[in-house]
Formats: sequence, C-alpha cells, structure tokens
Amino acid sequence: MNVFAAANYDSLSQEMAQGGGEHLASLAELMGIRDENRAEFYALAQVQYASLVQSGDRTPAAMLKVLHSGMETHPTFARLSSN
Amino acid sequence: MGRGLPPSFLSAFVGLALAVLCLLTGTAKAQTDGSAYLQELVQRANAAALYDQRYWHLLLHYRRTIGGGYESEADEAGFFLAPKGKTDPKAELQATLARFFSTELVGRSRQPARCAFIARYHWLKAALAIDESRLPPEPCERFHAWLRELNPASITLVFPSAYMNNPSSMFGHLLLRIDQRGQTEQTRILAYTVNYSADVTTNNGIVFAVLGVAGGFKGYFSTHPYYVKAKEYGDFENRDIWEYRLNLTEDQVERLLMHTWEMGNASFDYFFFKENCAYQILSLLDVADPDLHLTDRFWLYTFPSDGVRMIAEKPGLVKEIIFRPSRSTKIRRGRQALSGDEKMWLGKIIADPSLAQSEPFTIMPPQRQALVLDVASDYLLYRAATEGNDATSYQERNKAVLIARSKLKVLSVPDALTPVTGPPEQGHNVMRAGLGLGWHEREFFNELNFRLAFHDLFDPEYGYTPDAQIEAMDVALRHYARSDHTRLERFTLVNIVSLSPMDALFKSPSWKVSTGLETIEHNQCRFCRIGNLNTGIGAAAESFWLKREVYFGFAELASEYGRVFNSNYRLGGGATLGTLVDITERWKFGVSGTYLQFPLGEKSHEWRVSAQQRYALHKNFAVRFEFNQRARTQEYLLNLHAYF
Repeated sequence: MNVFAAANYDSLSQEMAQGGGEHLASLAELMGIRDENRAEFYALAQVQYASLVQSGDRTPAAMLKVLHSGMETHPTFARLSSN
Repeated sequence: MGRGLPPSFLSAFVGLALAVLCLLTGTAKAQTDGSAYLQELVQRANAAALYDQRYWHLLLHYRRTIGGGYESEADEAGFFLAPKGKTDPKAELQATLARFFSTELVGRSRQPARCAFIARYHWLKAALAIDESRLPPEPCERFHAWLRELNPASITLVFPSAYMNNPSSMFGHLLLRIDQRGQTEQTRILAYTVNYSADVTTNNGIVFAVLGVAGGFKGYFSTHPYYVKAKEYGDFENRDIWEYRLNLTEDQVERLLMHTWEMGNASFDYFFFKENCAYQILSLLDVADPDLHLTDRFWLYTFPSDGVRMIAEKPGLVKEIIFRPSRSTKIRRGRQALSGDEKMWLGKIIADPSLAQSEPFTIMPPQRQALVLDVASDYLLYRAATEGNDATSYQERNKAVLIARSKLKVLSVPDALTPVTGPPEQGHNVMRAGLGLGWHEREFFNELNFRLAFHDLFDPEYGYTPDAQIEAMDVALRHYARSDHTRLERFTLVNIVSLSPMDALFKSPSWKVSTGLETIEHNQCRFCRIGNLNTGIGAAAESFWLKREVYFGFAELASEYGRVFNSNYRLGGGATLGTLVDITERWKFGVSGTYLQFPLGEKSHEWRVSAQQRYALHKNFAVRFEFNQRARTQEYLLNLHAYF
C-alpha cells in the first residue's frame, strides 16, 4: 500500500480531489474497502484532500494518514474498524 | 546428481548410532534407484526423440541454423544445464533430466533445476509420465509464492504506441500484463506485467544505434506492476496505449507463467530489429500455445505493430481491445470538449489558479467547472513531469487547482476518449512496393520502388501515429524511355519527420533528418548521382477546416556530395514551408516549398517545390500522384503502392 501510494502520489492526489479514479479505486482495493463502501470512501477522500494540502506534508505516508484519520471519524468506516 | 557425503565426514561419525547408518544406507539406495530411474527416463526420452520436438525447441529458444543444426537464441550459460546446451538439444535434455535428481542450485535465480526450469519439468513430466515420488522432493516454494502474488486469471497484450523522441521507442513497444482474478477496469493497474527490454549501457545516441542494431546490449525479462509501466508510458512519455485482452485457457496461462519464471535465468543479445521486445514477447505466447506459431514467420525484423497484427489475425484470440489515452491525449481531447469561453478560463487558471475560486468562474455550472479544472490539473502535471527544472511551480499551481476541484462535488467524465488514430493492427503492413509511371523533362519513365519500412506522411494513416514519418531503406529504379537506360534513381537510408502541432498548451518543436542517394540534373549533367544529408528543426500547427490540416515550417541544414559539384560538395541551409491536408479519410493532399543557399563548396542556391496527393484504395493499397520541381527540372509521377 505504501509502495503503491509512493509510486502514484500525483495521480492519487488528483483523484482524491476529483473524488474518484482508477488509482483511488486501486488504493481502496489494497486497503480492503468493500465494494458497497467505495462511493463513501471516494467522497471522504475528496473532503480530506484539503487537509492533505494543509498538512504541508508531501509524503505518501501523510496521504495515507489523512485518509485513515478521515475514516476514523466517518460513521461507516469507524463502525467497520471497531467491529 | 547426488554427491553423497565426503569421506572425512563419514570417518568422524564412524562410532555413531545405527540410526545414522540406516539413514546413509537409505540415501545410497535412493541414489542407486535414482540413477536407474534416470537411465530409464533418458532411454524413453531418446526413444521418443523428445529432443526433436518443437515444444522442447520453444522452451530452449532453439532456432535452426543454416548448417542444419540448432542454436539457442538465449545467450546466458546458466540457462543451459549441459555444457553444449546452446547448440545441442539432445545433450541439454539429458542433462536436464539428470538435474531433476539433484537439489543443487542452478541458473541466475539459484534454485534446484526442477524449480528454476519449471516449464521444462512440467513438459517432461507429462511427456515421460515421470513418477515424482522417485525424485528428491521439491516444493518450489519461491515459484508458488510468486504465482500467488500474481493471482493470474488471463493475459493482456499491451502496445504502447510510437514515441518519436526516443530511438528505441519509435516503432512502439510490446509487453504482457498478467490480469488478476477479480480485477476490474479500475484495478487493472495493480496487475503485474512481463516486460522485455535492453539493458542500455550508453547515453550516446550513435553508440546506442550501432550497438542496438548489432546486438551489443543484453536483453532481460522483468516484471513490474502495470501502474509503473502505465505511468512511464502514459504520463512521462505521453504514449497512447492499446490493450488486447487475450483468450487463453487456464493451462496456457500457467505454461506462459512457468516459462516466464524460467526467463529469470536467461538473457539474450538484444537486436533492435529482430530479437527485440516484440519477438521475445511473442515467443512467450508461443510457449503458452504452440499452435499460434508467432515467431516462425520472422525473417529480418519484428515491429511491435507486426506482433499486434499477428495476434489480431488469429481467430478468437483477442477478446477485447481497450484504448488507454496518454495524459497529453486526455489534455487535447479535454480541451477540444471545452467552449471558447471555457478555453479562455483554462488558460487563465493555468497561469493563475486562484481565479478558480473567484466569482465569474464559480458561477458556471459545477460540471463545466470540473471539466476545466481537470484539464488544467492534467496539464500542470504534464508540465511538472516533462520539465525537470520548473516542476515545483507547476506542482504548487496544481495543488491550488485541485483544492478548488475538491470543493466541486461532481464526478469527472470517465476517460472513454476517441483515439487520435486507429488500433495498430488496422494500419497498413510495413513493407511497401510501388509501380510508377512518370514524365521527366519531356521523357517518359517507368519506376519500380521498394521500401523495407515503415511509414511516410502520405501513406494511409489509420493505425499509425499521426504526423510521424520513419522511412528506412527505400529504393527506386527507373527506366527512361527515350534515352533507353535504367538507373538506380534513389536510395534513402533513413528519412524521419516528426511534426508536433503546437497550440495554446503544447509547444514541442518539430524535427526531421534524412540521408541517402538521389539523382539530380545539374551543371549540364542530366542524370547525376549525389549523396545527401539533411536535417531541420521547426514548428507545426493544425486546423480542422476540412478534416484536418497541418502546417509546418523548418529551418534546415543541407549537405550534398557528388562529382557533379565543383569541389565535389556543397553545404548550406535554408527553409521549408508546407501543408498537409486530409480532405477525406482516404484522400490526402500536400504541398511544400524549400529554398536552400549553399555558401560552402560549390556556391549555389536552389528552389524546390513538391505537391503530392494520395488516395487510399484499401489499407494496403494506395495511389499517389506527385509533382516535383528542383531548380529547373520538373517531373510528374503516378505510383501505385502495395503494402505487405
């Protein structure tokens, strides 16, 4: 997942801002996000794009962190991870 | 073969318990049994002449030599288990069987023979009904872990189209993708690819060309995720990609992968024209399905587009063809979809992204705003990727564009874009022959011409990269009627033209280079042979009034050598202006004018004018009519071209 995020950082940032795309879908696949939750994940990624830029950290680790922290407070994903 | 235990080892343990002795006797017995079984297998293999079978030759990459023997195209000693394995299929087969009884590590990949050459093992096991329990146990864990990681379901042939700015990519490329189980259109970038490429050891273009043609580089197979390759071709080199999903059975996919695994022990001398990426990728497919006979037909060269054409011709082999646009194609197509007003916004936002969040832009419908911002972001990424120096400025602007984009809760339009040209297998064949009739200075002539490869700007364009010409080895013979003589009128060694139409976003230069022999009329010599070398750099633009028009201009250097010139040469420069017009899909017209001034050697100057039109009768037949004027010599020529 880190390797993928590092190799595709530019495309992933772009698709986060667009709220969809093949790189974001592939990341969701690697993160094990279920098909029925993909749309919510894309919407969340779009919202989180601003936080990624604000963090000022241009590393793939920061990108994954921003996504994970968004998921922790998101009703769907928080419930899934606490199960 | 098992080597037993060294005597010193045995003597040190002479007093040990019976259990150890039992074990040793057990091993010795297994060895006797093993060598008897090996002999039996060798006898059966010889009786069945397995070493003569085509599949064995495919696995070892043997080709017939002129002398009637065999030689493998693989050039690494570790790929063979017999010392003379490169030229002796029979010795190699015997040595291979022998090594199946050993756990010694072989090949570059350092594995037991059964695992390092797992396709050979599987084939021999089936052909000889080998009883595995009589061989030392060998789970081949590395191979199986690799296979699990690949999770293979099917194979896709991938063709990244021509890239004019790198000599090794001018004809396109071929690689395979191992599609995974459960893969979707979007997650296909996670699949692995099988790629064959030269390990290029020079940055010098001339050294590269010489070594590339002469087999001076080593070629290796490698596997990378498709996202790495798609990024390299689509985002950095801006090459459109065609994907051909193949219909292979599960067994065929498995055979292909087992042989790919073996290729980890092989290297090949890389020959730019024959034993290149296309040839080696096709050889893997031949192993998957020997009935395809893909590498049998190659004689002098293999172009990647030929490979695609052969695959596409096999009935039922291609399941589906998918076009994957490069980033620059996405930008061009995206921009074409914008209105005049939106194009203006695109330019402004690229220059100053803060406008994307200000009033006049934000009152546009969100879907239209998203369109503009997506093209802007693609363009800024394109500039960041292609311009090393100023990358940060483009990245910063891209960030600002994307912040605005992330506030628009609308989906982007998917990439289902119309390709700029047809799929490569629908293009004309690469060899061309022509039959012509002409009128040269009040005299009729007949012309026979032949071109080894590849494509010029007036050949039928469908399936080829537009505005890219690469001609190699073009010969024309003429018979002049009145003076009743036959001569070699023209020999073009190479003639390359790359036109890159500029627009508001793209500003790549156009360039050309050509060299060869030609016949001119000069200084009272009616038919004079000269050698020439010409190169130019320029600019091009396009419009879409009829179908498509391209305008170009070059500043150029010209040198000509021949006894006809005082001091045997002239060297100078000048300019060319011209246009190419696609009147319809089949009909193309072009005109160009050149003025050259030669201040060195024979001081002279010359005007040249050329007008041509082509009508494509079929993808492999075209008629061409041309008028050429050079100094005061005029000629008309009608040609019928066939491509094969």
